[in-house]
Amino acid sequence: MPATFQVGIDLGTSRSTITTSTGRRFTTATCVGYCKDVIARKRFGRDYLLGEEAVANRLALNVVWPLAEGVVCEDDAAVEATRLILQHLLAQVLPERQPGDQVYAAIGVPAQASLRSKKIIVQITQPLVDKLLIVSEAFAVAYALDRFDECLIVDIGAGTTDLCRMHGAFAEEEDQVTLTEAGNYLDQILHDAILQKYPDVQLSAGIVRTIKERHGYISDMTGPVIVQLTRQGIPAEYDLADVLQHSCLQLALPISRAIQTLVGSFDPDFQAALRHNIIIAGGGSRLQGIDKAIEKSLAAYGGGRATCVDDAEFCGSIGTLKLCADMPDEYWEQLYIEAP
Amino acid sequence: MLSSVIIAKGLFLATAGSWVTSGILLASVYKRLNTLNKQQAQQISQLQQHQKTLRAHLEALRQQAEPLMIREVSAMQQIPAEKGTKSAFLQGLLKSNLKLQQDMKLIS
Ligand SMILES: Nc1ncnc2c1ncn2[C@@H]1O[C@H](COP(=O)(O)OP(=O)(O)OP(=O)(O)O)[C@@H](O)[C@H]1O
Ligand SMILES: [Mg+2]
Repeated sequence: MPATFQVGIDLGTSRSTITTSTGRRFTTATCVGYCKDVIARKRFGRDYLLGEEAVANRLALNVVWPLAEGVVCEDDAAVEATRLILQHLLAQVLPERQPGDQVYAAIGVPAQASLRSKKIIVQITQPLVDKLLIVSEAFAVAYALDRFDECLIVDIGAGTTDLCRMHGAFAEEEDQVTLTEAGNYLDQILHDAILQKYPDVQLSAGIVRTIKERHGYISDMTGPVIVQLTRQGIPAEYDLADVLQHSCLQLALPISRAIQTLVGSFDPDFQAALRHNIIIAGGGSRLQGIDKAIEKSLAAYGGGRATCVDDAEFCGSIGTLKLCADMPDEYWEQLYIEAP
Repeated sequence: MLSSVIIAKGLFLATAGSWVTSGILLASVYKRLNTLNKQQAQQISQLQQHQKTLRAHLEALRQQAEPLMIREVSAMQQIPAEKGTKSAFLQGLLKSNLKLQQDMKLIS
């Protein structure tokens, strides 16, 4: 007898995760590395590598990161790379899948992704599954946490920060905001700020991200943050405390402004409840002290309390899986999405 | 405590009364009566203060209990309410996906 599997997918700009009704989960960097030449092809025995393997061997590969700002880029290479990644995710967690088995999938997208972007995701995913549900990412996080009421989800990813106001009803468009100020933006800010203070130090995207992930937001109370960098190959120690503090606040500020927009346009009786129940998710929630940085920049708007989720990595795909599992059959029947 | 003052005063007045009837009213008697009156007034005011504190405490307890009672009521309604919320979510999700399906047909 054919089996039915449910899967929740979080296709992210930097990482993608999948969680299944069979209790499996898997995460990978959202990239594909195509062999640069015959030598590479011979070495790897394949035309391309996926995820972390591609990152590790990037010098021999042309690495494609198909998503930008949370959505698939509009070129053939990006579409094909996304297809390979989704196929890889499904194969990793459903090795037992037989022809004829049904796969019901829910996939997260940024709330304010364009219709075109959503259509591209549907076009890529649909041939790989039997039923498909498109879910706003931050809403999926709320659903994962069973937080249906009086809270504000802030999902800080690499490409976008998605905010969603929860008030016991389905989150509509006016309850959600998508910002492009997220992890990648912070990397850029930090990169520029370090160079401004120490013009000759040598930086790469990886070095900047490592500094960010190791140190995070630095409050006034903390002492110097000594980081070893090189100048013309010569290592030396540099203090980055003020640079880190200033840069993280640059991310916290637009987020706080967006929080204020969602709070300020809500029923005044419940504004305080929203403001004091800010839940930070996504990889950005692992930035040390991000909750404090957001609380600090919220002070200008009347204050607030923020907490970070425990499972930043899988929260999104757990939410999409839960939604998938809770959808009644009669809803799924209506949701046969014809090939768009 | 107050009752002991009242008894003392009663006894004193009874004795004093007999002295009055016997026409012997001394300055010291007045003085003693005065002291007892003062003590009684003081103790009454203390008791009133005490009563006020108790009343405020009682009111505070009542106010504290009120949201608890409300919470208890809503907790009792919680299970069906949450179910209702979830099904509203799923309906909303269905609707938004059906709309997406329609809208996608309109663009190339
Ligand atoms: N420990 C950490 N400290 C700071 N930042 C971190 C940490 N771990 C991950 N990040 C950042 O989180 C971001 C990735 O988060 P996440 O995996 O949620 O994004 P995504 O889902 O791929 O992106 P998007 O949702 O925008 O499409 C990256 O910018 C990464 O640098
Ligand atoms: Mg994400």
